[in-house]
Amino acid sequence: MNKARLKDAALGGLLSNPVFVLVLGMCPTIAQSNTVVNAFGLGAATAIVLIVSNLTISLLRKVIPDKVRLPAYIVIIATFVTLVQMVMSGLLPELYSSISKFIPLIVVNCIILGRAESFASKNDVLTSTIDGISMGLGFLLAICLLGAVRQGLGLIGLTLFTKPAGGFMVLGFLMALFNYLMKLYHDRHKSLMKGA
Amino acid sequence: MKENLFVSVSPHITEAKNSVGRIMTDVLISLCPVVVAAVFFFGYGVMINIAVAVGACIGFELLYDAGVRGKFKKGYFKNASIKDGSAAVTGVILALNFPTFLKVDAWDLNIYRANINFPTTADILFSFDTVIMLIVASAFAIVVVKMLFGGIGKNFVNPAAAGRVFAFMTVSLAAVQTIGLGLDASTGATWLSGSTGGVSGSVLLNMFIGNTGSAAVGETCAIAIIIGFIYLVVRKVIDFRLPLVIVGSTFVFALLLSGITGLVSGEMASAEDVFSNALAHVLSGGLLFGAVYMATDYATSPNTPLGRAIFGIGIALITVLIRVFASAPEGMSFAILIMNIVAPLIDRYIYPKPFGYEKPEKKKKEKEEAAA
Amino acid sequence: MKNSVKNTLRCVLVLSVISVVCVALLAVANRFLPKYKPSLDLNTVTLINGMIPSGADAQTALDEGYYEMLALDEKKLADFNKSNRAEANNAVLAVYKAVKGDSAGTYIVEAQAQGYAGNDPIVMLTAIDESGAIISVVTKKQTENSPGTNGIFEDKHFALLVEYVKGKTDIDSAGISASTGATSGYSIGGVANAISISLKVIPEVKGGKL
Repeated sequence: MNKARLKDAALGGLLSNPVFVLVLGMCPTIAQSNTVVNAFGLGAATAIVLIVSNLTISLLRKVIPDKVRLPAYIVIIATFVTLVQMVMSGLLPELYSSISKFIPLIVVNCIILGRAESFASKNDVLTSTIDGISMGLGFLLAICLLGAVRQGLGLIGLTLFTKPAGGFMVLGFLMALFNYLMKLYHDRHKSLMKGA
Repeated sequence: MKENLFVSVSPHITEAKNSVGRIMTDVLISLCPVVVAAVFFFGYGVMINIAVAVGACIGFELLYDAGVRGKFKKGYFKNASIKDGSAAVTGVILALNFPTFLKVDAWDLNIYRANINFPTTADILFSFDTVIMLIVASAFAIVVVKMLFGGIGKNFVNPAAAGRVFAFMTVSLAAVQTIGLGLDASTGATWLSGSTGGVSGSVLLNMFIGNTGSAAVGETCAIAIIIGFIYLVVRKVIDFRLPLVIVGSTFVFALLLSGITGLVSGEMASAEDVFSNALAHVLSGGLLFGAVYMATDYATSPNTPLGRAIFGIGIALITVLIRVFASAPEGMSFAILIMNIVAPLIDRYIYPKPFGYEKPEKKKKEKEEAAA
Repeated sequence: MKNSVKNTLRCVLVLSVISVVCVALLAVANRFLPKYKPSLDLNTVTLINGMIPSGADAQTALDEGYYEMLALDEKKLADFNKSNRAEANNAVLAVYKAVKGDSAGTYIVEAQAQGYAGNDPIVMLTAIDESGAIISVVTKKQTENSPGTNGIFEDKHFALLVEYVKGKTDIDSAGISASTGATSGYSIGGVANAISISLKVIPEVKGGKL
């Protein structure tokens, strides 16, 4: 339980945000952020799958041989996605009907597979779970922010932004803004550390 | 060694008396006939549009410079990038690409003549919607397309074309003024949004003079655009071959694509019909205006003559394809944007001849002569 | 040599165990999650009331029991579905009957059929009068996103569909395509199948076989 690693994992969702910094999982991000409700639904589903799959894969990391790790990961992730799909279609049918096409795509979402491959298979259970939670929340917040901006602009009357073309533009601007703010933060951090 | 290499962006000024400012002044002068024709046919609204667009473009460029360079320093206005006049040129071209009045679906802020129940664009006294859309288009054209990518010479597409396309795609428009000021033929809808058959001589004449409806005020009067083109060529501002290639290729492609589909579908009866249809394609829809003023932008067109020829043919082909098969009148702006993005690719594969280059056969002959 | 055989065996074993565990997990979850069961809730009553006017609004119709769901033998219904369906997944889910109000005596069948593959089945309500001819149809649930604006579920095409089916006693998808002008092939096929199986169940219900 390395405290520093835990802290890194916890802040990972913000400092290396999967949407704005790592630029992973763009397909559902653009496609489903046209309204905030859709964005929240898909973001929550992805986050849940991410957390549970990070946990499981971290538990099994010593057991799965290296050669078959990708098929094993895919089977595990697909199981959890199917579970989420079953629960959603049973308990939240209206939300499900508007995002139903994109739930099976969560299986190959680069965020989940990427974190499983690069983090969960090499770190212990607690750190991996915290990383999953932080990345999942980071993704959820990013996609909801994108959805809010797009829906807000659509409500004013600028209908281009509720379509995918406008979605890319908004994503580009938000990415620039986010990276600019991160740069400001890092510069201040550095100058503070130098001064101290 | 590093200090001896100077990488400059277009416009590439080779003579001392040239400067970007002089080039832009020339462009503005050459735009005067077009502006006069637009005001003559479409009314006072055009002047308001031009004033708003130029003001907005200059304003956004100033704001961007102030925002990026920090505070307003003392020598700020001396070094401001608006002094080269390119923002003003973008503003005028943008305003000439807009209709006189338009009305946005979602918010309708136009001021109409009083006491009309279902006002149309013909009843507008002052159009706030047009002003707002011009400002939005200017913001996109100047801030996003030009300044964010590095300023003059580094834009990746033509700013005016991109601004217009962005403005028209962002909102869904309820109505766009296409009708001129009641000079007979100008009260009709644009030719592109309907007909596919042969075109009569009187309609062609009206298109040439500018007495026709259009969704962009600057593109109707062919005479004015040709005068502007001649002025620019005489002052050596643009390469005269590019607009000629575009116009010629459009004519050929319109003959082939529109003519052959028309003959096959029976809407055109004779060679005369096909010919006049192709002529009408050349004279309408912003082709001449775009060819002379927008496609020739230095930063977004290839550097070599062969490259420019390919560029022009590409624009013509895409325009005719969009107009004939998608029946959309706005083919020219999209064609320019697409070919702008392809221009660096053209530059990559078509090298200019290096200075002092001699063809290999010549060298062989000289060697033989020297040996003999 | 031995090492690589051992390695391969280990890989296969681990993958099989993981797969079996996952499948078991999914099977357990499937048993315990709520399934879609047709019922006479306000939504269904509103849809039925829209099709066949009962002289009262939906809330009153629900409260005063204008419509009732016929209690059908589950096994016989399953057998009927198996032998009469055009594709897998097509089934009659429930049969309702109007017992009070202006349209008493009308049967309403809730049936599902598959549209485009990969979607949930389309669920339609078909109102059939006592002679076995269709009065109207309405969609209860569909997640098709038929291409563009030419899908059968777009308002203008669906209105033409309702006109077309009036009074018919059998339906095929060619007729629907021709009369509505919609072009969403598999969705039209699904709609046609749902209506057909609804028509087929009525004689069985009237004959008391279900």
